[in-house]
Amino acid sequence: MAKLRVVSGRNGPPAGGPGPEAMLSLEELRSQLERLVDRVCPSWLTSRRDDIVQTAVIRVAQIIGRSEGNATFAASYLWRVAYSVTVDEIRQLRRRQETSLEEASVADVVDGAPRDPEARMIGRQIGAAIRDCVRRLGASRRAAVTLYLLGHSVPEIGRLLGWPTKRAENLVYRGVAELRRCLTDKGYQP
Amino acid sequence: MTGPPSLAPDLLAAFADADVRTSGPCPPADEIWAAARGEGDAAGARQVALHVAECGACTVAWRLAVEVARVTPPADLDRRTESTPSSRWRRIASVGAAAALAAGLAGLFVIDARRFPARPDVGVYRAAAPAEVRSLLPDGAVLPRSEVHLRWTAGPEGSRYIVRVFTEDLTSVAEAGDLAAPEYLVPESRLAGLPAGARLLWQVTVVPPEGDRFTSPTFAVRLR
Repeated sequence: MAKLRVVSGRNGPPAGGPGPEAMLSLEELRSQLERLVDRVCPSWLTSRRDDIVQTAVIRVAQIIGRSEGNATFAASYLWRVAYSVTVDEIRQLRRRQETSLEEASVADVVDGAPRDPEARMIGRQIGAAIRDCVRRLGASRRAAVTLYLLGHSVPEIGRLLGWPTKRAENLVYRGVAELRRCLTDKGYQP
Repeated sequence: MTGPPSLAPDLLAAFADADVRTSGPCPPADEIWAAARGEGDAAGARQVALHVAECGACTVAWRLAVEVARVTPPADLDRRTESTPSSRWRRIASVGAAAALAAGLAGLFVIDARRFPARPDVGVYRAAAPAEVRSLLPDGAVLPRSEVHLRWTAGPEGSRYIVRVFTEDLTSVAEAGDLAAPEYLVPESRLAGLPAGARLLWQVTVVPPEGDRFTSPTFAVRLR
């Protein structure tokens, strides 16, 4: 966890307000970033997960001009930088996969257990089907349902997308119903 | 209205996991960050959400922003505005949305972005896919201090290179920029304080004459 310490903003940008600013060392950032990337990493990136984190942390170190082993920095600033470089690394990896002869390969082993090829194929087909059904929704329903499928609550969806909760509720409910019909038409049991 | 129709957990997982790729440009990372954390304008967030619906990599980016938000201070939601999209990516995305609407009115039931002519400034965010950079040293190479000669595959003709060398705890050892050739001999003086067997990490950024620069994976060698 980030260390709490009163600072004057000497490491990274000014704290920007009264009160203590949470601080973070690069080692703490690395270990937390490993956990978070592990949580969101899709199967088509799992085999490169460690490389993503390693490369991202190195780039953070370059950007912040790290010189001392135990230096700490404003956590919000460090996370902002880490996020940008991690996304950049994921996108570069995707581009390399697009041009490499070794096509984006889904991990053969997940959590120490070998992944059944048939299960992988079925998972891929289901993913493609649900994405296709989402694509067929009207724009507002598509945006609302996308966030719903990613785990956001209805009030949260309204807040993020600038809608009253009631409107977000309508869009999600009707959008999911339409999604279910589409998946059923494709032969899936939603 | 009762709760939304439920969806099987494996469908939710499959949605997040899907390796879908859109032909359109991806928004800058900071726009996804702002949208997922409720820090930007709502119109922009809607554009980002529509893109996330069609892009596996940006789905990961969105989910990562949400996870980071859980470990960092919460967003200031009072700063939410309803301004018109101003960023270049959103202008591009808005053009795409207008085209999609026109296609819908023409009677198409499925909006397929590939049917629309390529937008000339798509290249701003999606330059030609770069070649992969590979180390030309054997895996786990053990090198004498006088001969830490790093070599890698060349980028497009006319590329320049930036190479950075670190210890395992990310202390900078050496850095060289604007190299004309895909190789770099680490000065022995930079290795003086390192013990035998020390592991060095190194990474190359290729700066092609045209298009975006790209960075290699991290490679490793050991000091004899």
